[in-house]
Amino acid sequence: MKSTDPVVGPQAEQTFFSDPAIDRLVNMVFALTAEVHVLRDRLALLEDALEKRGVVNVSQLDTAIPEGALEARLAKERTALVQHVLEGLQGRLASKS
Amino acid sequence: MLTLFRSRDANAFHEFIMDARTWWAVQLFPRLREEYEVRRELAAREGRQVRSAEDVALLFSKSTLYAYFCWLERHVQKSKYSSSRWGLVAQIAREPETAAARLNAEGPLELDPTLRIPEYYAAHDLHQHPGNLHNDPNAGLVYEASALSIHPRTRKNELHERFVDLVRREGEFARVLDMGCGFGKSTLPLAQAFPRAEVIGVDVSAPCLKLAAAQAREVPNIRFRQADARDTGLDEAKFDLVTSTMLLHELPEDSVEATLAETRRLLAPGGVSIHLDFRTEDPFWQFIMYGHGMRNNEPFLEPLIRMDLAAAYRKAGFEDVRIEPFAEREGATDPSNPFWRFPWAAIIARKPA
Repeated sequence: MKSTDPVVGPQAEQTFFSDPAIDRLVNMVFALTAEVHVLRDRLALLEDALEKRGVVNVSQLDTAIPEGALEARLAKERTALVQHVLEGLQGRLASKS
Repeated sequence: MLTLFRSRDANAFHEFIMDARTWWAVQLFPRLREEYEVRRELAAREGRQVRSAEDVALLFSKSTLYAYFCWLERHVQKSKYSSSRWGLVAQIAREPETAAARLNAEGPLELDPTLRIPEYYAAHDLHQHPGNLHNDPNAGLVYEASALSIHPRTRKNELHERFVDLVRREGEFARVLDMGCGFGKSTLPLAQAFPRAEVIGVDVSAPCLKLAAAQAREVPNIRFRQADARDTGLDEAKFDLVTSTMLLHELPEDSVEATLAETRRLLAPGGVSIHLDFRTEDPFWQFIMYGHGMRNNEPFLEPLIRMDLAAAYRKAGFEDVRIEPFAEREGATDPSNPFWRFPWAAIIARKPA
């Protein structure tokens, strides 16, 4: 479906594709890629630290069950991830054009 | 390794943004240029010649590659500034102690609380900077961090060091004014290059000036003042050099003329003006730059490139007007350079003796 949405709000984002839906979809892909990079960066730091200290066996992580504070932390991370990935769908920008 | 923030996640995000911007400039842009040559040749076979930016726009009107080129240019910048997760505006606000330590260091600064922010300036959030450079209290820090990924494959501060080299070739100067100085990125190297000179930087953005002054507190020959380049309030014929870097393209045409008139008024007879900005006669590059202005919220970039600047300088009373390509790094202006860049030009002129 080619979007014929009216411009809503004073700060409607520019579009570059024949269908603005594509612009917003690419926004999600880009944000997700950034998230994946940040995650891989953190994971590499963590694995390196754990390995050097001999704290865990990496294979044990595969079957771990997060609880308590860790479970809450993961939920908070997940909420921020959803906001980041989906915010581009609104077709708005924070700055004036 | 980037160390902009205490947060490693935020630093990793901005490393990703910088790499994405570099990929756009050194991988995607050369493909776009190749596609342009193919489309131009096909059009020529049909008897259509490319003579203007509008002709280039027609060639790309149905190009998927060009749509992605535009999308990335717009959205890499948008993510850098406005991402709720780690964007510069949000992340700098999230680490207020760091911001305060950088901004609250007392430096040589005179703010003007009565200064009226120009309407053309307040009307747009330049560079997609929410709140623009005058309304965001951390604007100097945001702009400084953003500048790290503006010029791909260029060493940090390289452009400004080379600008100082260009200034040196024009002579020795004792009284220097840097207009639209922002956070002092060009003003500081000028003061260090001419240690016996008195150097003043003016800008309308108080948040940028606070960072400029804080960074200059150990530099004895520099001071900053909040003022509009069109009407600085400084004494007539006070300077032997007036500079700016990246100022003119942020001004509407009548303000460019007013800034040139003020430049002339401030210069002593025989004084030199060097404004660094963008010029190109190539239709392809004009098309790229007009689009950049639109995608980066810089609406006066296209009018500046279309403007007859040499005539405007002569009308303002300058002589020996030279518009010279400027290389922000070695070899940047070589026609064989396949990467995206700004078409920098130094506009050098003299006030009659």
